[in-house]
Amino acid sequence: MVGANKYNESDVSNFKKKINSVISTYEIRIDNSMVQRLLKAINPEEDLQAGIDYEKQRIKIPDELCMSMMAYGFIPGVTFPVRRGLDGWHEYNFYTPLYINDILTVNCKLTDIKEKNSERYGTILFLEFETLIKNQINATVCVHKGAMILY
Amino acid sequence: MKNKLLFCDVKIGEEMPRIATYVKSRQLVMWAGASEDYMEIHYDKDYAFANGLKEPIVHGALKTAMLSQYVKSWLGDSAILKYFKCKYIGIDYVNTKITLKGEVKRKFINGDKHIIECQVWTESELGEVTTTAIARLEYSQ
Repeated sequence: MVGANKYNESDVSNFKKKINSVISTYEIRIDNSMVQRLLKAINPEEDLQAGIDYEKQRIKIPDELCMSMMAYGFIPGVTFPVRRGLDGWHEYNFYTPLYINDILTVNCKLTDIKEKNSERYGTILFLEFETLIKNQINATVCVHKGAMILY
Repeated sequence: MKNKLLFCDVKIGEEMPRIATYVKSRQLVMWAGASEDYMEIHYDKDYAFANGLKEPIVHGALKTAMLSQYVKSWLGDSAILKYFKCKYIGIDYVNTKITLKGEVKRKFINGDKHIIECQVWTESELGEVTTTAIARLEYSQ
């Protein structure tokens, strides 16, 4: 496996063409089942939020929902030839609270690519992203920056 | 752990109570579904092995979410998360012990905002730090 499927110059050049252009925009409505699934996944043994009705009680949804949306696989529209990848870092600034039935618009863009050569894996790419999440009244919910490492 | 600490209760240098957990493959599948992160290294043992890993690995974003909940649960609902930055520096394998730890780094007042900054991190069962994060929370008092 090592040595196979290395990124070549053409891949890197295609990545670089996408810098600073929005690579993904989508809308998502926050519903109760989405929040419950997420909370159970974070803490299946001790469901701290069990019994809370986020909709009826108009309770702010945990920020981890935004974190889950920034997960590696949740960048629809990305057509990069991802072979092997790891998360590098994530940074979140939270502004407006989220509630059930909010409709979020998520814009993700690639902001930078750095290359490093490795004998073992060939070209290692450090992709930096910025994601802006706004709600239905155009208030900023979260600004996310992050990096993925592809090799 | 569900606390309710006031701003005045929190001391710089204070250690948060550590929490040890085992992330099982069931939880990884649950997280994959909730976050739509279906990278095979998180649930397919053969795929993970073919990619140089000895077992499927825990999602970085799941560890982030666990750390975020950890600090928020400790401080309680009056503290609102405003900033969180995490860095992945090691791998955690499925079915191994992950310990969540944290410490208060800063505490300050900026205008009418009462702010606590904590460093939180995960440690593998070998005692290696695998994820580290800074969390900044604001008290709504």
